[in-house]
Amino acid sequence: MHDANGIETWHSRMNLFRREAPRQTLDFEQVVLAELPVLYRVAKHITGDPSVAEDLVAQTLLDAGRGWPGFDGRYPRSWLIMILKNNYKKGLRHSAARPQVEPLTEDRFCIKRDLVEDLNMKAVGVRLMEEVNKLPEEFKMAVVLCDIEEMSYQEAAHAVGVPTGTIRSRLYRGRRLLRRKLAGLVEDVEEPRSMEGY
Amino acid sequence: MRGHENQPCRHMEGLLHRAADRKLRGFAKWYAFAHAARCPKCRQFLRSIELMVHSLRLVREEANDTAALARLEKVALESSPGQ
Repeated sequence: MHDANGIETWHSRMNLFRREAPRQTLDFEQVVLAELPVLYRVAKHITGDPSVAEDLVAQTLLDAGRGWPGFDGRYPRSWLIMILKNNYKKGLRHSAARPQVEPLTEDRFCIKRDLVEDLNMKAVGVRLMEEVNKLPEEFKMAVVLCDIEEMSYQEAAHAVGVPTGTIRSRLYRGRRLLRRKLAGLVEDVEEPRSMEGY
Repeated sequence: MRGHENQPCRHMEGLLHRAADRKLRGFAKWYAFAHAARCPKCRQFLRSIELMVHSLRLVREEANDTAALARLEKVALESSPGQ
């Protein structure tokens, strides 16, 4: 667009750099049904309670249905997880005023488990899952999205609404905490796949 | 090597995480694996990260509850903008 003197205007120049959103050709039901297991698992990790997770996902689905016409079609999984996370935070704000009763857990009694007996991959995984759920919120989100749900750094960053570098740093710190808690459990098992050929 | 027990070399930690995620290419990839091959603490660190991620993914599917998912599918269909 040019002004009366034929000079390119600021607005037209800025439009050159604006990325056009891809046309929305996705089907809501198809996308949402495919992502349901992921949403439910992430919700369970965030809330730590299956029934609360179910309510959270249901609310997310309702909001996603309402927001679908405005969705640009990029990263549907990240978009759904972002809605889920926002709903969770909203719920936390509402419940902050209410008195909280801390449930009794095994940890409060410091029961020591025999980790040597758990030395097979699945048992390690189960133990790890428990530890993942105890991580600080932001590290837990990064570990759940990148390590458990196999999302790329970019997708996870989009879902959480932070830069890619931040999600990487949170992931590494979360792993460091997990590794510290499970020292000895995930080490000395076998030579890693990536070392083959070296 | 870092002084603390079971800690990788300070300058290697980020690289080793990315190596475990298969995100490294070219020289960085070669350097990370070459270093890990010679440094026992970094090798152990890389191995533990890989095993940790692998174990988590193994138990991932068991975290799903089919009854809850069936109920949520209904909600999904009801909340479709086309409804």
